[in-house]
Amino acid sequence: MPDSVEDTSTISLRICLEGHANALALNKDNNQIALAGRSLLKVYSINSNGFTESCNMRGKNQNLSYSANDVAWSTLDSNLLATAATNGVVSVWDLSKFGRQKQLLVYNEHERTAHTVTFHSSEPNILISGSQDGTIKCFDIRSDKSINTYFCNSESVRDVKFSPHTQNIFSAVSENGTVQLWDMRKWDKCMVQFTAHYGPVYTCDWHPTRNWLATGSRDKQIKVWNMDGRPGLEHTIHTIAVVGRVKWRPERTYHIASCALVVDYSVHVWDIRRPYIPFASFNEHTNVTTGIAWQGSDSHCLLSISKDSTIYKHAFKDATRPALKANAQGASLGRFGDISFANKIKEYEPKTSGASNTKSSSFIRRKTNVAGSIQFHLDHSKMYKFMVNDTFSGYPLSESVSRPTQEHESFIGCARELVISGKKLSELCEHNAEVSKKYGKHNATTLWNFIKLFYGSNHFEPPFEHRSSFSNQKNPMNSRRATQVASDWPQQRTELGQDLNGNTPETAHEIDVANVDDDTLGSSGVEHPPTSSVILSETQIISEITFDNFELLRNGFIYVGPTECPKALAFPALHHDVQAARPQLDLKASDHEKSPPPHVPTVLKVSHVPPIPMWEPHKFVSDALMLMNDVGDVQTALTVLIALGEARKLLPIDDALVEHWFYTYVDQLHRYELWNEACEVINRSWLRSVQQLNQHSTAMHTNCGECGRPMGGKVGWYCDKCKSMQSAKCCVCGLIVRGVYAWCQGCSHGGHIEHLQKYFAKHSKCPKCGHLCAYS
Amino acid sequence: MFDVEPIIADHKDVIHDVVFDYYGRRMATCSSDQTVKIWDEDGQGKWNVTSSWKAHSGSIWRVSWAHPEFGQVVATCSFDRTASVWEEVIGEKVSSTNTPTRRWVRRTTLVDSRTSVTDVEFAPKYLGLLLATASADGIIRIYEAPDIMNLSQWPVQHEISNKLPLSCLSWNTSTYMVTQLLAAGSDEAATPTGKVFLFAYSENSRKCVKIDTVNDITDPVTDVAFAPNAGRTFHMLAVASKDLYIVNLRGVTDATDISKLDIQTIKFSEHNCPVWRVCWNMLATMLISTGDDGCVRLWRMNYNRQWRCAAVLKAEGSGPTYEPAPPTPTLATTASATAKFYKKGTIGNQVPWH
Repeated sequence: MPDSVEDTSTISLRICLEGHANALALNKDNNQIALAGRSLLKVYSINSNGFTESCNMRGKNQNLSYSANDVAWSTLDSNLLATAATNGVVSVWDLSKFGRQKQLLVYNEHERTAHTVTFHSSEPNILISGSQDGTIKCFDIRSDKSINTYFCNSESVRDVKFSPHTQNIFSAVSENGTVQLWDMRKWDKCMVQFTAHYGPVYTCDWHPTRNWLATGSRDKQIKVWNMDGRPGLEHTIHTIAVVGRVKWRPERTYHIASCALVVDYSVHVWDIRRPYIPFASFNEHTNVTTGIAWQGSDSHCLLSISKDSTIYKHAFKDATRPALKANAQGASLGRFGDISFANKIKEYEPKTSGASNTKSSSFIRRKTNVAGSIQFHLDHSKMYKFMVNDTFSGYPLSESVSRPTQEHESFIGCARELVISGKKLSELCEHNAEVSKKYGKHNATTLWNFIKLFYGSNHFEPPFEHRSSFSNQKNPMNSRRATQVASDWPQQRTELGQDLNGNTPETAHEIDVANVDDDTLGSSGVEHPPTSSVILSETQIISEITFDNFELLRNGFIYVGPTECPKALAFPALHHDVQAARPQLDLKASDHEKSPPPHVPTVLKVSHVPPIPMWEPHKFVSDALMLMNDVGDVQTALTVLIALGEARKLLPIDDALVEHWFYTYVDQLHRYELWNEACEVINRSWLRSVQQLNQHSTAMHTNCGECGRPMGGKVGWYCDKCKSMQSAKCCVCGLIVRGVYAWCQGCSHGGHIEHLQKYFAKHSKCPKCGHLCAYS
Repeated sequence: MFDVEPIIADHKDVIHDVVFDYYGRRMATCSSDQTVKIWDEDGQGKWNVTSSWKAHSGSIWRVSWAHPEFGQVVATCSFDRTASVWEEVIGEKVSSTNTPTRRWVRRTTLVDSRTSVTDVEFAPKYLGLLLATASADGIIRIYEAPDIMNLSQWPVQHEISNKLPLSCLSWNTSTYMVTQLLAAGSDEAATPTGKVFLFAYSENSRKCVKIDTVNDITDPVTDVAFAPNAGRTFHMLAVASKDLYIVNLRGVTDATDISKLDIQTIKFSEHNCPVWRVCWNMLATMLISTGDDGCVRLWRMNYNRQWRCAAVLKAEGSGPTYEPAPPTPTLATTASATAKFYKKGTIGNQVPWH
């Protein structure tokens, strides 16, 4: 129960006095921790809510023998400590004594820094130490001198560890990258020696249950060696920085904790089966971590000390999981609509049912870790490519569509085939409508047809003028005026898209105008052209409103109503509109017949006739272009604007937005490497900032191939310094180049482009100077 | 219809990013096995690895291509707290295959970050050769190469600190009404605040500052992606979180001539599982999103300015899904929506959802 309480908390204790610790050790009961540093030598008790200092061996003592590099606790006696000092002294401490008597023994036998000290795993009186002088010494605390000395070929010993599997066997790691295995009773020669790393090995640790040895080195690698028989490399972990300490995690066969000597402040826990990303990380330290230890056999509690003078007890549940936070998938869309997709494959442990306690316990443990370690080490990715298939199946095809055109094909095809200049506007619109229809852009087709209808006719404004002049005439032409008014009627209804009620005031207005016209007369010759033109427009409108386009019009352009309107309803609606038009005509004729008699007395006289404003489509077309742009079709919006020519000034579109459209379209063309089309669009621009795009980077500076000076003269191929045209000759055939001259920008040698192509198909160096030209 | 073709990536660990270059002719992949692979497409549309090298000491999170105007340059960021810039160097021709050897040379290593660098992205071309990095401690750094012929010098131009750790980053390539717009997302799960931040260059204070936060997205964000330049009057930002979001940003100028952002957030819940990646196509008309169930979803905008899920792609051989499939009515709705879109002719590549 106290352990569970401790598991739920992560506490931090900061030691602000006397500097940082270099090493830490736990006693056999795991309730006390010893810290050793250059100016620190203390023992703390571990409580559920923090650390309390229980013993301070250093105090104010300035003796160098107290500046410890390593500290070790006896595996059998909770009162015995051993420290290895920076001046080579190995001390043994008895915590049950008081005052100066705590320092039980002082072994001053190492000539240089003592790096490590450790107790025997089973014999209480035996300890060994490793030193910078290349020796390992064995001490018995019942004697005041070393009982054995092991020589490691004059290389510094960084770490020694007793094996928990074989009696009297310990490992030693050196700064030349070798690992040695010694039998404590044979001091003349080591049993096994092998090179483990490319750089100094700083630490080693024995696996608690398997005969594995983990070594950490300056080459940023942790290697796991199988020490059965000849040492074999089992796993390699690539860490981020120089490895400082490694500790196997209890109760987890494949987990190991590590910290770095420099740069990296974190403590990482690795799964050796997945050596690239840590299983868990603790990132609380603000300086290099100098020591790590698991709290006994508790695999959920990790103690760490750091150069920032703090000591942490980490609860494993609070660790950062880099693999879980990492984005497990990658996806990208290509230029032709294909998708590259990399997905992490999750491997789950198959669930087993066990009857015995052992299996049940194992099952419980596996279940709790199913989202962690079991899935962790089996993670890998599979990569797929989704390609657009031209054969479509699964849906009934409309007979009018032979093959669905991909979006990129529409874009490239329209970019190449749309015509934006060089013809009359009506011809441009007709051609572009055909191109859009060919590539399946039905909305663009309708838009081009409307542009042709509105802006392609030369008689757009003359009818208005004729009407004004007509008002000044004196000839009565009742039947022809009635015909003209009747022709205007359906056109206006269709264009405005208004319902029946909305047209009633218009009808009254028309009647008034007709009545006024009775007092004035017009010649028959003047009336004929406008009437014919209006009738033609009406015919065009009706012919363009086909079955499919009608639905598109309602949903996209003219009428914005219910989006789920089925096709079946659209057609009767059209009929309804046609039916509704006829009663109005009849009503108007009836009114016309009744009006002359009351006005015969000529009571009302009007001196001026207000002109009837024609409906202008500019706002409507502008909104249509904005909609095309909002759904992503900037190509159609911009080409319509360019094709309109001077008429585009009628549209209320902001110049800043048009400039934005130009940049966008040019960039899209560049992505598909349609350089010529982009250049044409830039040239057609009326905005100065867009036109200047074609003026950039057009100057080419040339060098003389002979002397290397810039060609500064007026003639591009004549060198003023050499006084010759030698540089204008082909390097391959030696003749003067007339036509296309290609040259390498590195060595300034060149010639005929055909000769150079043939030459560089077999060679990679310049034929004149041997320069490695970039042609390939 | 889409054909599925597996690509033998041969990465020994999880692949974290797949990126096409500007023209879509080359592809870069990065993985936790600390390697970056460059793929080239041959004449038959098959992707081959042309370069593979160990780029970092830790997992590589992201890779970003520079604009080809600056050469073949990629940037990578890693768990080992560094970001690197690599450039391709053409060497001698191999006599057997008659093709030049290609090596990727490290031009610089950016070591300013103290924690894992989670995202790296090159800025749009009109800003020059600019590089932005996001770190796990919430700092965005913007580097610039003053001399594009010497890629070894990348001084830090701006450093923006945030309280939340950042996980993703995206530049806006459109310059309409707002310039130098940068979006960042946080994968912090503890606080219920907004997780998408917007930064822009401030002419008054001569530095990049945070201008707004999208407060509607409070779940951890795994990816953000601005739509490419499409000529729109607003900017679209796709956000991958517990659900998929599309944020419309419109630059408005009020009476006092101060630029502000009008933010509109649209949420899509069709994934039913965490969304990992979002990516736009080159014309900014299609969006794909990938979820924890291993499916790729295609999204398109119809002529009512509404985004719809047009297709759901699932690679064969994927593992068990994150959650069971949605019930039948949802499937019917999706099928109906797909059928409707096909009739208009604007979607030609939909697949019925199985």
